[in-house]
Amino acid sequence: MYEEKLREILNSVKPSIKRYTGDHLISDGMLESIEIMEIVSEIESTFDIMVEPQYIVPEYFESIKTLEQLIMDVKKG
Amino acid sequence: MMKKNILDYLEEKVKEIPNNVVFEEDHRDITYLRFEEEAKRVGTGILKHSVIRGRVAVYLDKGIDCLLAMFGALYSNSLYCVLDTKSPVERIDRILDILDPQMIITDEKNAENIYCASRPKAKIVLLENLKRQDMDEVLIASVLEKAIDTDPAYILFTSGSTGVPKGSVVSHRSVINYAESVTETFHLGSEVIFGSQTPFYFSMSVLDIFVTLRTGGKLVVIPKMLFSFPVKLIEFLNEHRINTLYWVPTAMNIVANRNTFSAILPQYLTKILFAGEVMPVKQLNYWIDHLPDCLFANLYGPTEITDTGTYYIVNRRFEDNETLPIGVPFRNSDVIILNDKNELVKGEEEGEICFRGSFLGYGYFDDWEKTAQVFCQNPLNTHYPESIYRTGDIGRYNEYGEILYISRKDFQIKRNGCRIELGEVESNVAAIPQIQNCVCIYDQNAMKIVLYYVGNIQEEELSILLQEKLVKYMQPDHIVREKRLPVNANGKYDRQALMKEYQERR
Repeated sequence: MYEEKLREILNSVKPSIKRYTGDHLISDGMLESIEIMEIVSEIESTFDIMVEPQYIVPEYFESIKTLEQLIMDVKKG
Repeated sequence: MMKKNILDYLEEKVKEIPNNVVFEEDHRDITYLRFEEEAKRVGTGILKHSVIRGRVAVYLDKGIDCLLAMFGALYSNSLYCVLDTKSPVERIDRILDILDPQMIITDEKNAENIYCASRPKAKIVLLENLKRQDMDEVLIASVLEKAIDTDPAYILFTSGSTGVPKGSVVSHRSVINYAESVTETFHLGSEVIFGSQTPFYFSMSVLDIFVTLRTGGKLVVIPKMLFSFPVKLIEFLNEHRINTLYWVPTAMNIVANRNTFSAILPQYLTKILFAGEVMPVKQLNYWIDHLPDCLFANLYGPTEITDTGTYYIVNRRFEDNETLPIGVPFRNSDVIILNDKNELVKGEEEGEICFRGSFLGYGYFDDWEKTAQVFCQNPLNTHYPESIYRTGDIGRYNEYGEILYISRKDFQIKRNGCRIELGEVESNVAAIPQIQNCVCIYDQNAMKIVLYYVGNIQEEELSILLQEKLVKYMQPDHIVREKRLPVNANGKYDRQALMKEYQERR
């Protein structure tokens, strides 16, 4: 349910991601450190949540699906 | 015995602690003995290609293999030059044009890229093939017998302000002197386990690598990916029992900005060194508050003098908007601060920071003109040739006799007769709690100060805050909130890119 906004965030952080069709952003080396930090800040402001450091792990950043899971897990606390 | 080659460190430790691990990466490690053996094979392979005392480019990802290629080159008494495998082909092309190497060592993964870039002159050789050579110790010994400490050990390329890379040539003697000084200053011994963050094509890695060999310690390559995931990063430090760091401030900021220590604390760290850029005090205080028993030190210097030439061990509390001193010269390194008249500064007068001594490199490969501009005769000595390196950085002494870095010579601005330091604007902005990172640039033509920042605060709100914090003539004319600030390959803020972006926007 966060899919569209997440897609917008990813596209704004890294426009070339539009051409990427896989679901292993991290394992495929698509994102730089600084971009991941930016995604986290964007998620925090867009969804009005606070992402604690223990949630910033590769498994959550592989795809839009896993990012959705991240938001849900953060919200559940 | 007197050291005349940085390989002497390796050979000494092979005799003392052959079975200790010297280098470690994610799923692989190598002992001193085995590393020497493999590097000698590579060296033999290079010699068999008739490259002796030549220039060997290394186009490999950061890791043990890259180190083997570097040390293999040294065993042929050649200098090595590590290239960034992530760098655009055009830049590699420009570097190869200047360096004109006799051989390029790569692996299958990176071979295709280098074939695109390389001119046909250089032999491109796979490390695998060199490693398969039988070690010819007699041949290597005969080559190294003629080696002296003023032979070059490596060339490191930095980006010149005009975009043409400059290749700093550094001798064995400089590296030996630097490794000795650092080891002594920070009381490092065989217990040292470095967590290596900086790339091998960046001067800071010289400290990690050669102090490891000097002390008989161990260097662990931290996978780059972990700098995206701060908790994993600290887990990695703990897992590998890393006790010594020498990082760029941006890497330390990532940990501080995400409040990583609320989730996990490093267990083994004892010494934390940093350099490469100004370390913001707010983030440093975060580290100090969580790791009060660690030694923290700010190192300063350019690639042209091997790595750094001064250090400051943090021994008092700094306010968030203060700047750390760059401290005092290392043993066997000397700083002179010269004013516009080329005289030593007096009291708190500002001047250009210049270095003397054995850390000095030779200058820029195949660029006599640029070399002569910055490697000059010491103006205080009119009796015999003595080189100093002019950093182009402005500094002065504080009341403790410590050196303060003020700014780059080219960053100094005068507006309405008032001198402005962009660094001072930056440190005041960085002290604001909502600010994560910031960089100031100056538009020379329009005489405007432009502030770029990342943080949880609106532009207007920040502008109002700054009116309280900064005197009027220091107020930025434009404030631009960014999602991120561009960094270059070494992890430093890319001011040129910001300037370009600003000019395009206008």
